[in-house]
Amino acid sequence: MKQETGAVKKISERALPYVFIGPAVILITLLAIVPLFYSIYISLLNYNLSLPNTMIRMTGLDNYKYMLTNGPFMKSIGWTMVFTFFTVLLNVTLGMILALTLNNEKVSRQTKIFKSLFILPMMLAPVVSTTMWKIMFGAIYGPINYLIEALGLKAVAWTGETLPAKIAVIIIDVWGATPFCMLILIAALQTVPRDIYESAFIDGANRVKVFFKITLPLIRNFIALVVSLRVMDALKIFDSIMILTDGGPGDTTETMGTMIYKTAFRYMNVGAGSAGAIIFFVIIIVVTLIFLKLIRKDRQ
Amino acid sequence: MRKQNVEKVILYLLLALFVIVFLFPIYWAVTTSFKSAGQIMKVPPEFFPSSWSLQNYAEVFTKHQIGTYFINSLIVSVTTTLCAIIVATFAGYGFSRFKFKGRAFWQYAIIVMRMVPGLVFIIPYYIIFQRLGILDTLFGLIIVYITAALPLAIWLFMGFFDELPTEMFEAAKIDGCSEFGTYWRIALPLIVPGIVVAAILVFLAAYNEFSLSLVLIFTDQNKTLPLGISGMIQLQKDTPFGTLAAAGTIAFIPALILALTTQKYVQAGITAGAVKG
Repeated sequence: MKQETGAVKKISERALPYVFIGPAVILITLLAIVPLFYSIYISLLNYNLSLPNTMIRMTGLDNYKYMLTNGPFMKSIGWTMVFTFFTVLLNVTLGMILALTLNNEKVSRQTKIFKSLFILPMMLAPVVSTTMWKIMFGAIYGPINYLIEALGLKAVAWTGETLPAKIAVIIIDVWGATPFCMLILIAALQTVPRDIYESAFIDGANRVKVFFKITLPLIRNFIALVVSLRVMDALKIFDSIMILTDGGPGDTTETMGTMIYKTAFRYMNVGAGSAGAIIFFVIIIVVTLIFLKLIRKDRQ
Repeated sequence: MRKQNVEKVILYLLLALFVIVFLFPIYWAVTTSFKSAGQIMKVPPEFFPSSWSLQNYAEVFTKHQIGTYFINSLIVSVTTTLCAIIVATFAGYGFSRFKFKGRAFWQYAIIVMRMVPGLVFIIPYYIIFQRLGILDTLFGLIIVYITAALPLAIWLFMGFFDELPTEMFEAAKIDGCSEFGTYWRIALPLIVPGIVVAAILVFLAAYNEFSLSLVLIFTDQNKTLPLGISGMIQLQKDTPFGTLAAAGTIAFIPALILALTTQKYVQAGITAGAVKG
């Protein structure tokens, strides 16, 4: 670098990094940071879109009190948690079975073909995949009920009754997100050197034992990663609920996401909606921190 | 030997079962889209259509504006991808190449913004966009999607640029290459595979997005595919399976093309997006 070119060059050189990150910083400031703080501000107002703006007043934490004592919203938090638990459990278990199958050297020649077939569901828009499943779950003409009746059982009203509707929502999400877990877990299994298995087999260990005693501990960080990413995502479930059940029957399949949306845009109460959204954000942060802590403990 | 074969049979049976589970819903939607109303309402259902009709497709193009939705979706996702990639490679290069005041702050801010759920933004977006007069415009939707894509894309590009050897940048500087020239002529060409990976992730996210568009767009003329399809469900209470299947099939085509032509990048992208991001 030349020193003698003086102050002009120095300023332009110092400004250079900001020229590169500038566009991104401007967009993130205007469309993420400002709206985030504005959202917190709105959550402190009695802001209703159907009322004139002159009636907007500060109400402190009233919106938070309203949301946290609001039965349907609290119920939706409970169901979102239950949904997340079962979806992620099935996701990771099935993804693991798939990854182990495809990682087996007996089928490894076909792994590529199966991988590209299996990732199709995760590339679909949730709206589209839910639409496809809506047709599958059709009460009278749907193939799923046809199969159930062929087995001699009674047809199920998939979107008309609470438990079947909940199961249907879980099935759709498991179908759409298991391929994601499979991809990450295949990458995880490939980090385990093959000769570790060989020496274990020579020592007389069986497959199940090798999996739980050797493979699982070696890829536990990948599993923690998949679980935490999936939990974050499952908590945000919105699209498939809106398309399949619209929260019904009654309000039994409403999730945090659909409740916040409906509070703000069907009941026009954007103040309470924002409070709900901030509560939602806090829940996500808490869950994330718990997982980060668990991952760190794992490493020690 | 025999035990080996048994294992192989079990593995392939398992795979066959998974193929059915993962692909049957798609197969069912595609075949339903070619069935007539009479064929759809049949017990037992026709697992292979006895005759093929294009009636549902005629209907989604004439009665619904699926063509408009499709074009809007392409405009939004292609523009989002191009802009997000330009802005993010710029930022990724800036963060990777320079040490400057505020660097750590902005990197931290980007990670935090990735954690904020989209739902937190929809209410302020609605109010702000209404005041600015960009509610119900593709422009509004596009700038929102670009911003949503930035955190992950910047993070990925930072990683890609970090892997390039520092000596290369020094050599470029000695040869009199400006910083912009180094970015454009030396660094960018070297991370093209990474750009493809990030572009696919950004494209798919924009093409598939629903909740933000649900709040920001409401006239048919500006709707994207997911929003348009969701509208078709609410419009008619008698669940028009044939037209829904046709609309779903049309929306599925770009994903299928991407999956078949760029599967290597798609898989790499999803893995990188998760592990690095």
